[in-house]
Amino acid sequence: MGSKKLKAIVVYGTLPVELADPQEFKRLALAINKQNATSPSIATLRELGTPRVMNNNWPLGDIPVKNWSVGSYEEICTNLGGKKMRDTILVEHNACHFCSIGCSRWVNIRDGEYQMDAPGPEFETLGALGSLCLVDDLNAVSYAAHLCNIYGLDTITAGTSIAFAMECYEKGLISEQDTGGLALNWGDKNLVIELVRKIAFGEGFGRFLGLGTRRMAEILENGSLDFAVQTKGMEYPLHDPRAFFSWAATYATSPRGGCHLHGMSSIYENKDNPLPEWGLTGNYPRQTDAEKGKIARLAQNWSHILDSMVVCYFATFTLQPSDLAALINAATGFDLSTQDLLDFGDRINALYRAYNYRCGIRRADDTLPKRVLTPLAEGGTNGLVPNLESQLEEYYQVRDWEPDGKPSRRSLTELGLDFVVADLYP
Amino acid sequence: MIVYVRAFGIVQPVLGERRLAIEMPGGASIQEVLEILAARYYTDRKEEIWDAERQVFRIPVIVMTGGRDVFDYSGSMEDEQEIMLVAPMAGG
Repeated sequence: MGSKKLKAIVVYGTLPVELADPQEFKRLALAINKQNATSPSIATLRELGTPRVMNNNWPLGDIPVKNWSVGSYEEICTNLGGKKMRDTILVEHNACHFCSIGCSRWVNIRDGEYQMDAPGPEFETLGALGSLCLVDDLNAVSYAAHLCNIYGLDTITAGTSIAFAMECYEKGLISEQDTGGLALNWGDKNLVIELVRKIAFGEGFGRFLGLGTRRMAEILENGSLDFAVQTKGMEYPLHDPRAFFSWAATYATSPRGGCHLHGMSSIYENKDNPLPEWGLTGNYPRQTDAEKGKIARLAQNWSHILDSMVVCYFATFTLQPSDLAALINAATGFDLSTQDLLDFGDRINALYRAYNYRCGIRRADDTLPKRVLTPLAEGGTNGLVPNLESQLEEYYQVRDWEPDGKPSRRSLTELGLDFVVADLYP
Repeated sequence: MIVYVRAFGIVQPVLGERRLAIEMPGGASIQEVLEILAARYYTDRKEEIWDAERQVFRIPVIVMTGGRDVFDYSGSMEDEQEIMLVAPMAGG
């Protein structure tokens, strides 16, 4: 699409969607909306949006700082948090069509060099363009995010790439000769804004930054791949696997690389009976490895179902699979069970993996960079790191994958993917 | 002795943003502090947060002290020790 200078395709229909049981569907939809409207786990999401995570998760060490090299600390997280936004630049909340959560925020900066009137940044954005770069000026980060939005840049990749370049500059792997005279100093908020512009326009050093962390590291060498925080070329969201160990298996195996939108696994840790319908009936302390491969699989499957139904991930804070099965059944007249949804998730994931395998992805690619497997002395992660190998052993077992990362013939057959068997096992 | 409590996430709207100072008998355990919190402070949202019968949180709350998670709440607290109650969140 980019080569055709095409930014988006918008499609809409004019005919009504026929439902199998409209009354039941409406009853279920209203009940879910009411549940979301009254749930205590949603309340602060409505008030602060996703930037609430900045205010909330720093004691746990979940917020990466300075290109994931420093533990979370209160000052930078509160300066970038939802409460600061609410008290300074927030003008109104927005909601998606018919949503009772309304997590989106509109911000207005009337004075100074960062004037804007636009959607406010989300948590991941505040971390990537903020704490990763040691910038704690909410207005500047909001403005950098606004530029990313209008230029069509992913804020996580943009911010992580800038933070990576800052560390390379600090280590002498990048010089001012490379940057066109720019000093890539930590905490330089105007530099972050300038680099966003340069990435967007492919200008000077921005062309190199636009390659992303993996390709930059492959060019720079000298151990820089160790602190390029990505898997399969995709930069990480701002949740630290050292704080919630299940992120290790989730990031390592996610179909498109380090991604929290293919399995928001941390919400199933430290939670008594978190997903009982799919067998998560225990308590899973956040910094232990047992069961985390299993949690990664279920969280990924759950995400695949939500994506297929075009349901917001935040609905999972209150919903169980049976709620979605009931909605599908009312809409289609099917008679699906929660087990059916689990199987659908497995099938979708198997297709992702089969495609990746055919493109050359193997177990060696299911990995994490050395940086996030290095303990931090302070900042809520207790000096602990996940054991990726043990999690992958469990994950491969529950997915029934071959040692090299190929879905087994047996698993593909059981999922009804015979055409994939023919392709992967000629 | 005085112990301090800070709350985050779902618990914070109930306990407030301030650092609570609670007077406890010397050698009181973290569990005893949690029970005092429930009895005195959870007020109208107690049912959402605390299971009074089992004396445990109903919602996922990580108890931390000294920057580390606490799993055994029976240990004695010291004067001026702080505990944090963190209900984890994700997303964005």
